[in-house]
Amino acid sequence: MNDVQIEMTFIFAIAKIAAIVYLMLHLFAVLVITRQVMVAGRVIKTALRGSVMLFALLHAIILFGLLIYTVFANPLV
Amino acid sequence: MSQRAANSIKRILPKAKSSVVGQLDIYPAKVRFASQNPGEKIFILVRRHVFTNIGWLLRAGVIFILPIITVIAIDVIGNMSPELFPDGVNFRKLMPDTLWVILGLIYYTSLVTYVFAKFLDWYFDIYLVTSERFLHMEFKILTGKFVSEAPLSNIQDVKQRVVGLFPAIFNYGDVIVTTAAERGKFSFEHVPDPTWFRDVITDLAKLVEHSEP
Repeated sequence: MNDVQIEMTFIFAIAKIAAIVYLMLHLFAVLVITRQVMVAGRVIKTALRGSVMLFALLHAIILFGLLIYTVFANPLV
Repeated sequence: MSQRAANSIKRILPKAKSSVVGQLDIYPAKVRFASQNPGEKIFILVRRHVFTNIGWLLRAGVIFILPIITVIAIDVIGNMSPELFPDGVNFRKLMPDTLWVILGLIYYTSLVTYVFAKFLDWYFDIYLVTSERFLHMEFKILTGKFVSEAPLSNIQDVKQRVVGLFPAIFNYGDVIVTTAAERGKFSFEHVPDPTWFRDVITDLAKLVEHSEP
């Protein structure tokens, strides 16, 4: 490994950590949104309530998958 | 509810109506709310006019196409300056593929979250007019829910306000109801067809006032 490669490895490692932190915050925000949708769905029952809840859950699951992928992905490949 | 009152309501709101985009429902079929009293009927469900969403929809559109435009622009600039970029601009060489995939997914999932949050902000900001009262239910995504209500019998004055170019073109505006309650004013913001809405509120208030002993 030359100096440039070491530097790039270091930069990509930092980028990966930043991505993980961002995705954790993002996932937290989406979970809060999902919870709010559940609360709203209990207070007011509308026609699209089920679809909106399903979409919120699906979005949270996709984000969780992306977080797992980011944790295990090798940024040098 | 007496037969006479039911007939009067039929005159004020003759038939069920549902707008395609969900901004106005008369006699909404599948709507109930948690504090609904037995026998209380929902006459109108109204949300802010759908055009009020245009700002965040345009922003989302720009955010969506921004990476594509950036890639095309840099490619064009690279082709226009062969002395600076003799081999053209190859984006794939800038970062490993894994990072490109992660970056792209993070970018577009963030966009989906933004659009979803904005949609929910509109969808769960609901005004209801029932046989007994009117309610405003508002759900702020990160701060919680706000519910306010006032009885139909408390109405003293109903005003409408249509200010601006787009409200005038698309026929939406505010309807402000002054009540005898301590809170004073109840505002239906950016509702579609405010003239019709103001008229209905006034008629319902008169009906409730006259039917009370």
